[in-house]
Amino acid sequence: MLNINNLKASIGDKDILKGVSLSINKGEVHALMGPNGSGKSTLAYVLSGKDKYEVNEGTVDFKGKNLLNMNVEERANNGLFLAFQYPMEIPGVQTSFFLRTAINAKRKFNNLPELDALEFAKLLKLKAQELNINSDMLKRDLNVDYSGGEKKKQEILQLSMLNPDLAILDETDSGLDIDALRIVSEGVNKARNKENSFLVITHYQRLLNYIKPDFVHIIADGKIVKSGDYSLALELEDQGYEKMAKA
Amino acid sequence: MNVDKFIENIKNKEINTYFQKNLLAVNPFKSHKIENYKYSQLNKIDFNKSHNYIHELNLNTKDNFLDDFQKSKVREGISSDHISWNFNGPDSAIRLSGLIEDPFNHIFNLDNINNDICIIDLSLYEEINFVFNYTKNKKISIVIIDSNYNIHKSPKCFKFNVYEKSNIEILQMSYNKNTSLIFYEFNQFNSSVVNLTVLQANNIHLRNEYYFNLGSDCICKISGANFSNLGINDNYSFIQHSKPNSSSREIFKSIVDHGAITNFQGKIYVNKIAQKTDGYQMSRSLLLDDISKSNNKPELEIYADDVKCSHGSTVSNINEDHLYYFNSRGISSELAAKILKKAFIQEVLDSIENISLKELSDKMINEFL
Ligand SMILES: Nc1ncnc2c1ncn2[C@@H]1O[C@H](COP(=O)(O)OP(=O)(O)OP(=O)(O)O)[C@@H](O)[C@H]1O
Ligand SMILES: [Mg+2]
Repeated sequence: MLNINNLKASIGDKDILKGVSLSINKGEVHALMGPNGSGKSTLAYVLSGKDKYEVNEGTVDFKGKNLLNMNVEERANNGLFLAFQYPMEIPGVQTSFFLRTAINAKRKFNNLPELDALEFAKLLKLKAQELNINSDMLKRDLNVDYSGGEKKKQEILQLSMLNPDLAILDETDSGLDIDALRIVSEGVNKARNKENSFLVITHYQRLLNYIKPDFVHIIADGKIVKSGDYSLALELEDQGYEKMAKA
Repeated sequence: MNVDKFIENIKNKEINTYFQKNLLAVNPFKSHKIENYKYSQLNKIDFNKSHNYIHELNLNTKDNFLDDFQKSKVREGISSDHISWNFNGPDSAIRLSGLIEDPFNHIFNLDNINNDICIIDLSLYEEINFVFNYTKNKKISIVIIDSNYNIHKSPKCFKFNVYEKSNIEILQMSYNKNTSLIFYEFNQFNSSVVNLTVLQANNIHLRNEYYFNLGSDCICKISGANFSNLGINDNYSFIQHSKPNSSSREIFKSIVDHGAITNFQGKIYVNKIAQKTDGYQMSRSLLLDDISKSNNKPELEIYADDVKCSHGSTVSNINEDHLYYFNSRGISSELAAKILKKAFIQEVLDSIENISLKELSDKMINEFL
């Protein structure tokens, strides 16, 4: 699915990613953990194609294609999805309208007919219910005045509507209350199948109790310093980054 | 960028350069408090016919805005290529022609209209002055169409006398590549309501002025959206709160592209006795490139001491982060920009109350976005 090899990236003249290598296969869930400022979000942004980052070295292969050659929208339409750590507020654009535009953009890219208003409404209702999002909220402007947790849920709603091949969740769990965390995790688990993959960025092992990862990676100072299975997250919870880094 | 767009850019740039060289006043903003607009210089336009007209402006403006016009002439239309969409207005919509009671003074009594919507197509009239009187409590909606068909070489002056407790909604749609000059004077009697929405798109040279004189307990709403990709567009508003307890709310949004210039100057003037006035004014501009310009000048002049007035003004570009968010969901930048532009003026479209007028304005906006 995704093959990152020795990826180095910077912003301005500041090097942030200092040689990240990571391989994710179809059907796998990987967790990425690491201290604040270690480059987790940067990695997510670079993979999504945000242009303020400069890629200086390395390769990224996504489904057999060179990801770095695509622009942001091509990456999305090819099946990459990033659930943002801080979702943007867009005044004047209704949430449901945004979702419909996004879904139809992807369908158009795949040479599928656009969903008509009725089909879309049905799908949206179903998906929103699964995430316990009430329909009034979808009539509001995208993320505007949503609470922190509501914004995160909204990102996962987009994920479940767009059905990506690879989803990167950047701290989706922070800001969610206990019930919301369970509901969102269930949503993610439901979207999970043999054909798609997830990269879950988190600070808390708790999320990983719900979304069981196949692999856990620890990133520090722009490099993956340790990889293992689920037990690595438990170890980390127990010992903290500092001890782990020394070990 | 495709070839057509490229050529259009060059073409627009040439025209804009001409406008900037010849029309833009050297120092558009004077400092004195009673100043009126001086953004563009009408006497520099290639006018070829002069018009005299009478205007009964009864506000306390010392620098009468008519001076310019008495000196100047109005030019020939540059082009009259027709932009068209179908307005399937409700049966109740009528055209105003035929309602003229007095062909010289053009005084209309809106009370005689039984319809909910009244359409005034400026291309049908050579006349300059219109006076409308309305006294009914029932809300009436008026659409003023200023299209490319309007090649008359005259400014249009509308005077609305909105009598006690009456309620009027007006939608002006300007998409006129000729010089478009429209002036309004609203006399709002006590407890009357006026809701004016102005949509202006791709006008090469436009100047609209709105003068409001408010009695007590009035509501006055002005919402404007301007798309400019050519020339100079000026909007000027003067809202005078003459008596207590009235509220005025004005929002004006401009989207400027291809090196065009838009100007907005709006003043809220509160008389000494107009206590409990609630005035709000906001102008925002979205610049789509770095050669376009937008001048916004909000003003307050307040002589009463118990009032609530605020104003603000912003100029910005399309938010890159917003674009990125759209892109990250597979939506092209082109479509995203269109949606964001619409979002920018949504507030203006939302101010329209009548459903058919809403539909009509939606069609117009989609045509020009
Ligand atoms: N625009 C920028 N200019 C300069 N430095 C930046 C910029 N954006 C990010 N950085 C720096 O890059 C480093 C990595 O940031 P990043 O957001 O990827 O961290 P993170 O691992 O996601 O942290 P957190 O756990 O707090 O979300 C940080 O030191 C941050 O200050
Ligand atoms: Mg982060």
